Amino acid sequence: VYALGLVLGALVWWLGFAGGASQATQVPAWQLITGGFLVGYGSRLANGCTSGHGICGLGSLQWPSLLAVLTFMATAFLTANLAARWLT
Amino acid sequence: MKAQRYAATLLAGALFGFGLSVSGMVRPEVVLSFLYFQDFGLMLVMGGAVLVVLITYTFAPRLMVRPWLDDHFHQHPSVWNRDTALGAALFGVGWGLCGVCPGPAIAGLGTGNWSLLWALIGISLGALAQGFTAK
Repeated sequence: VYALGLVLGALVWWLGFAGGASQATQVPAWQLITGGFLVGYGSRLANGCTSGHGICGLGSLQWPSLLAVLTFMATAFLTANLAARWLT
Repeated sequence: MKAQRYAATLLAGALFGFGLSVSGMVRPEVVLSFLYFQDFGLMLVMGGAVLVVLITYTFAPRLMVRPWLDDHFHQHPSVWNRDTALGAALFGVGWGLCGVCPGPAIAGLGTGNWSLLWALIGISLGALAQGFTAK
């Protein structure tokens, strides 16, 4: 139900405020699917993602969440910059 | 009561999806440009969200005897162990590679960005694989 809400809310914005222009991404499909795999595996193993640890965890002052956020921010910076250097 | 809860969940999801779209976080390019230190919008969006949650979590239990849809407030503690560390590190690598995290992957479908389906397939497979490897 929450996921349905997510899609609906974004749909309202897309049709109502962005004129329904296509929002296609330039990121290649293999990068989306491998990256996605790691995102899915990692966030389930760590019990949270950007929203879970980042927003709810930090907002309720949970120190383990801060460590988790710092960890994934660090590896994300590294990966994104290395990927930008080697893949494009 | 049950219908009210579903409605609240749907509304909260819609609000989150709307916010993610308005702020551009449903576009992998925007997230990636933050990770290249070119655009600090993500920091503001996340900081703003944390602030609102912080205020709500701090004051709501003091100002209200009980929540609207439940009879008492719950805590959702997070733990720090090897799984959290490893999971967060892996999540970061994946996030840095594709610029998509679970919320925007789902919400982005509402903006007609069908290529996000690839990321969503990846996320589902990854989460499924974790389920199989966990004991």
